[in-house]
Amino acid sequence: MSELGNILIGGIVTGAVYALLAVGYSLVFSVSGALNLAQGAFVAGGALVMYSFEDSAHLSIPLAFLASLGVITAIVVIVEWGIIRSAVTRVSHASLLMLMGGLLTAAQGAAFLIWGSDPVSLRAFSGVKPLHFGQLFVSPQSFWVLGAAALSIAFVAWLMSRTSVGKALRATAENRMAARLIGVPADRMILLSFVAAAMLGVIAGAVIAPLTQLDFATMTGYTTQGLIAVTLGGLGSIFGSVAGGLVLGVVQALVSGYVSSLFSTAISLLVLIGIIVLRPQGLLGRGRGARADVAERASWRIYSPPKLPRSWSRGGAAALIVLMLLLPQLLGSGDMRAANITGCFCLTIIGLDLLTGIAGQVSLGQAAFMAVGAYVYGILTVRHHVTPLAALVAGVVASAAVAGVLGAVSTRLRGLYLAIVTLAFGILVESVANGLDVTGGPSGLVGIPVFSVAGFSFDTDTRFYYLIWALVGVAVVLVANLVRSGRGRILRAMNGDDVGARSLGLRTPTAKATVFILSACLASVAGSLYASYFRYLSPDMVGSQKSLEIITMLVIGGMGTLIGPMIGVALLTYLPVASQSFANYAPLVTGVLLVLFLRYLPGGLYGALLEVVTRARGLARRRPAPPAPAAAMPAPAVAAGTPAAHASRNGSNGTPALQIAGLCKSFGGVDAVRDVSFDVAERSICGLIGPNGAGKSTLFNLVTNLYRPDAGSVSLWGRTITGLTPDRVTSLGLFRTFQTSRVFPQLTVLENVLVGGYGRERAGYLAQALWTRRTRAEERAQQAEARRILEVLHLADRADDPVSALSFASHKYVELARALMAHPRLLLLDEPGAGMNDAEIEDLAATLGAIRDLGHTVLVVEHNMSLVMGIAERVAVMDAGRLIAHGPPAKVQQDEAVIDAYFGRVEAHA
Amino acid sequence: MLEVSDLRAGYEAGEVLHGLSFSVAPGSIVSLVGANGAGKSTTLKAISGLLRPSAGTIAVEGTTLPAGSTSSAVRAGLAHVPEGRQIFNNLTVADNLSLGSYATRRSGPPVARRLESVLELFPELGGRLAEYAGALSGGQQQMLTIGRGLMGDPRYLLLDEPSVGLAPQVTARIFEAIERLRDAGKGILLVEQNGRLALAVSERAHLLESGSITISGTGKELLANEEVVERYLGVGTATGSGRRREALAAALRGALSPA
Repeated sequence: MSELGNILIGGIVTGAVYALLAVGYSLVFSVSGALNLAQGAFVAGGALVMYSFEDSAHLSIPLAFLASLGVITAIVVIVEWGIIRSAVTRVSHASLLMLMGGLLTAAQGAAFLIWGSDPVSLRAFSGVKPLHFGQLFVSPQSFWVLGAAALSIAFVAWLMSRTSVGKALRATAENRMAARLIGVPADRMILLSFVAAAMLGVIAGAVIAPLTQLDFATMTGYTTQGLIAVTLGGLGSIFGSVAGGLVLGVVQALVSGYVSSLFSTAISLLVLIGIIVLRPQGLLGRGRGARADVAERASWRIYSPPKLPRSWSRGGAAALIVLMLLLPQLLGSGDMRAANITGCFCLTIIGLDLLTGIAGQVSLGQAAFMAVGAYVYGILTVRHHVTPLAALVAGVVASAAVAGVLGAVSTRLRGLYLAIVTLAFGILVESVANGLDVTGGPSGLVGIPVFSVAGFSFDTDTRFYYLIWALVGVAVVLVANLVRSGRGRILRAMNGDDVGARSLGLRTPTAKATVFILSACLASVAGSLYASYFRYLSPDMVGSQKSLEIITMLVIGGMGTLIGPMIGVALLTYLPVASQSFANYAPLVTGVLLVLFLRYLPGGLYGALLEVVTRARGLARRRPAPPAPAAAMPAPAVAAGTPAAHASRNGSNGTPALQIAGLCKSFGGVDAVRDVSFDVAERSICGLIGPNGAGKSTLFNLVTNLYRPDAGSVSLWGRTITGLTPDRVTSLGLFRTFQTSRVFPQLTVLENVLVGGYGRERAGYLAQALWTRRTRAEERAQQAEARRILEVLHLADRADDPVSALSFASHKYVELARALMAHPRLLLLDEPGAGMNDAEIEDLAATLGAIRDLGHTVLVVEHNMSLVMGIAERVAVMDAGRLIAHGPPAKVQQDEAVIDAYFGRVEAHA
Repeated sequence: MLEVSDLRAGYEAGEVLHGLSFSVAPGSIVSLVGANGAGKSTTLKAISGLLRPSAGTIAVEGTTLPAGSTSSAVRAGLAHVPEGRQIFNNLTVADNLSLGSYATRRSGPPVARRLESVLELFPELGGRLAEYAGALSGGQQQMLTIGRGLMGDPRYLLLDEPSVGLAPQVTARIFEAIERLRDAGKGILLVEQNGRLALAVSERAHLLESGSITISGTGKELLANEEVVERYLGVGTATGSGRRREALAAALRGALSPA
């Protein structure tokens, strides 16, 4: 009983620190959307600064604390003002996450330079003699921890609920646009949240430091634990954060007390996975329903590097291959070593580039998969005498399994969950590697056999060189094939607009999980070979610090270019080799470089090089866009031109294409759609009209299954679709366009159209990576079809331009082309005529008529009356969520209720 | 006087507003009417600083506002009441209102006095101050959005679609309040989907088509202008309900042969 009591008290004390961290995370996240991975740095950094003031400046404890608070706050203000403030709105979510990781690394590097690696402990505030409560022993410092945490959190709660500044913070967190409109300066609110988070961190560090030992390395631990705590409680919820922190602290204490301290890290990861699976919004968090059909207009864009002409890239590749073949003759043995290490990390980074650079998913624990590969290889060969090849394969299987689980739980959610999960996994692997006997613990695993296949041993530098670089070459080719084929387009599309891609029926969670597994497999192979090359393995060779270093390599080289990241690897591998003194500065330098590149040179070194080269040669891809010609098209051209006509041959046996029956949907007590029923006949155009806010968009989202109806059903050709996933609905023949046209900004016009053909692609990942004859034939056929469709829509000459260079009106046509590419039986068009002038509307009408003549069924929401009345066989009219009329245009236009609803009620203002 | 001169603004895909010039006098309602996508909301965003204009100036009482700064627009006396009732659902009605005075709380009339006049205009909100704003009805949320804007003690109100999704009686209530504000000396720039209603109360109105002002006049002139009727309302503007229906039918018949 007393044991349990003491364990619980210990857990609550740790939990109080986690709670302070978690509250900091919540504050910053809700106001700025940034996951402040430097949160742990405030704790250890604050304590270290305080230690210096006590130890060197001989300040008393309270003075040292205040001085530390001042120093850390000043640093935060400078960093926020210089870097974070502008990055929050200008870089993508993935980049922001990595940038925060860079800040953590930089803080660690600086702490290492200043305080070295000896852990520091502070004097207890009021003695160390434990207080007795029956059989419970409590150190006086524990009371300081609990008191400080309780007071700080109470102060934050008071600030948020009672003061106008706190209310302004909450307002900014809930609706930044509205907060800006009433004059709340969003920038200052972000600064305030960071300062508050930093202060909470420093307080936590000051009170916990006498009970533990802190150094630069503990920063990552606190960052991770705080992150798990806030995920557990609910990102953005203050009380959830407190609860999450306490729960995590107690659970960890119980597991360490009764099982083993090693498992306390494992249990954190399990708790994290559990909460993500069961309740992703956290214990006390509120789920926020964002409108899935409206693209969030972010001011950031994802950088895509310019493309070299084909002859250049072929020539460059040939030169590179020759150079790599000759390199062993040119290099000394020290340099060969560096070249081989570079090869191992290149293999890892190709996978990471596919995951992060192409697909936009951030893994903060990629080195952990190298560790899995390395340890499985090491342990199986050393302790169980398994052959090297079998051990390597076993490592890949283990990595794929782990990545499968982590990917499956996190990829259906926002990207930051993958980052959180991988960070936690990295910490787990590190602690397991350090804690178990079988891994050799901190001193490492020795006597690992060199890699060999069928008796051929890669035991010299040169042999290993050719092995690893051959593998890198194969990986580059396979990944490059994948990137240029259909799957690669999906990955790039989803990088720019995940929700958009998903609502077009692309299975983005599956795609994300797949590339995550692929990247883990590559890292695993690299790890196995890395261990075999050194014949030795220690935890820090593949620790979580390495994960951030790999990300830095990726970013400074140039994400998304495959070649660039390898330059980054070479650079960061050679620098420490070239200059020993650099090694000490490495963490600080990598962190700072990561931050600066993400903010100022998103294309990395290689991207910058490409820009320079293409500009110098006048190959600049961004030609000034001439206004795209309105797609003036005679209707028969479509009928003659596109094979889309095959689309809807079967199944027209009189069943309505679309049946909407008794559909109801309300949001927070407001009935957006109330008991709406109507049918759309096969091969007809149905217009859906009604004033703003009538419920048209909601109805659309119900039909496409983005929303689940409260009552009623939607059927396509007699088949109820309620409950089906968007990709199943798409495969039944439904495709949509969006009101605020949702083209994928970093794809070309042609690629955007090709995305529509995804559902008809037969080649899988493997076939596309191998670029098989069938894949090539399929890709050629798809490209030809896409170009024909663009030809008909008068966009053929823009096919290879980035879609962002086109006008709004052209985007509508790109969307239309993409929809046609999917061979839909039912097309849902959301305001295709918005922003078009009369002549353009006329063309659009001809286009839609032609599409109907091809055999498609069309449901179109439109404000332009002449368009709707001109082309629709039936018009459905909604007002205030109800269907108020449905019938032929001639009848609807006579309807009294329609006239009142649509053209204004003057009598309402009598 | 709120003066907009040669305002140009747009998004990444291109310019949306191609040089708009107009002004709003104190104590008057100026309407921007036009089809969806003509650039009405974009105009309001560019004036209030939510969107940084690419060219042109916004001046209040002769002083030019810095581009793209919402807080200076608020301090200069502008209140942008956005479309779609962008209230803070998780804050109380009282907190929503008091936040409206955040940027101007140290200048102008005391906040308590402002609250009094907002509650006088919208007594419906008085009994619900302690409730969460998310619990209000649609009409009350619209009143709260306008009230929150008024708490900043503005001289000019930019109202974006105040009648969207509201029942006729509620719309009438909102428009009554808008006219009272005008009578109290506020300048009002009104963007409204229900063009007929907006034009009926406007001293001045501009038809916006594809980002340019094509027709300007008094509200009554635009209501009577056949061209506006054709381009925007799509139907006749006759007041009698019989004639209105005939005009609607005729216009729609004309629309039946577009291609």
